[in-house]
Amino acid sequence: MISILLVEDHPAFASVLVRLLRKSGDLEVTEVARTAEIALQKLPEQEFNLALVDVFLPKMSGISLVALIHDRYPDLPCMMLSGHILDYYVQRALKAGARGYVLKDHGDEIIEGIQHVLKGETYLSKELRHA
Amino acid sequence: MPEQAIHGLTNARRDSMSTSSILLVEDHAAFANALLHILNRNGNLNVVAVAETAEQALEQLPELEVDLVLVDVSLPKMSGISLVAALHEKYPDLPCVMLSGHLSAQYARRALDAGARGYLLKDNPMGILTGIQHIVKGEIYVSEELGEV
Repeated sequence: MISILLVEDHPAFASVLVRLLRKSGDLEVTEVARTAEIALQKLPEQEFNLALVDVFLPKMSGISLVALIHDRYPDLPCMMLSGHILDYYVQRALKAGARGYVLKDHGDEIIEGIQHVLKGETYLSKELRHA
Repeated sequence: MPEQAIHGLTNARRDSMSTSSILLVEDHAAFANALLHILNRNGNLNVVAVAETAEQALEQLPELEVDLVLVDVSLPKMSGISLVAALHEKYPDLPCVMLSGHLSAQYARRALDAGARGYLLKDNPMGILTGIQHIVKGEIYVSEELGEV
């Protein structure tokens, strides 16, 4: 089983994504954190294989969280989730250490992205590949 | 920013009383585009013009009716902080907000000392939205990631 930390402040999207990933087989969201600060508290408590991080988070941003995870847990890959194509934030996220950036409304790409990132590759939603 | 885009923005939602009109001073096109998208999809914020330099902003301002100026800290020639200081003197009732890539309390302090009503981190899109909502109500707001300044 692949253990995933989901950092997402919208409960409705979080629950849809949890179900979607579960249906896909061995992907299990074992923790949902509604803020970056909660995610930082949860990280030492269990071993995750991947962090899925929303770019738009209250208080500390998703990009700052990814930079901190990249620094403190360099072996934990992070993939960003975003509702919009915003090249600036894609570039900033990759610079912060994110291994992927996918659009929230493309469920198939979220799963495909997770699989690529777990293999050590970098993955961008198709619509972002010119960025 | 193409001229027709600015023209289109200038005419957008101007009639709404509750909308805050914003001048964005930013030379980095990718960030300006991202911010336009984030702010203009929010119901009560409307970026009516974008200036790429401090000098352009000073030239455009007398012709614009804006409620707020968002200023990038790093601008070519005249710096963002100098622009904020100049605007604070010339238009004391017009709130200016610093946008910055630097998570630095020292930068934030300098911006506030120059007269900025806020210091917002570019990497935090939700923080920018939250900050602007506080600042248009007359409050001073610094990105939460900076803690106490």
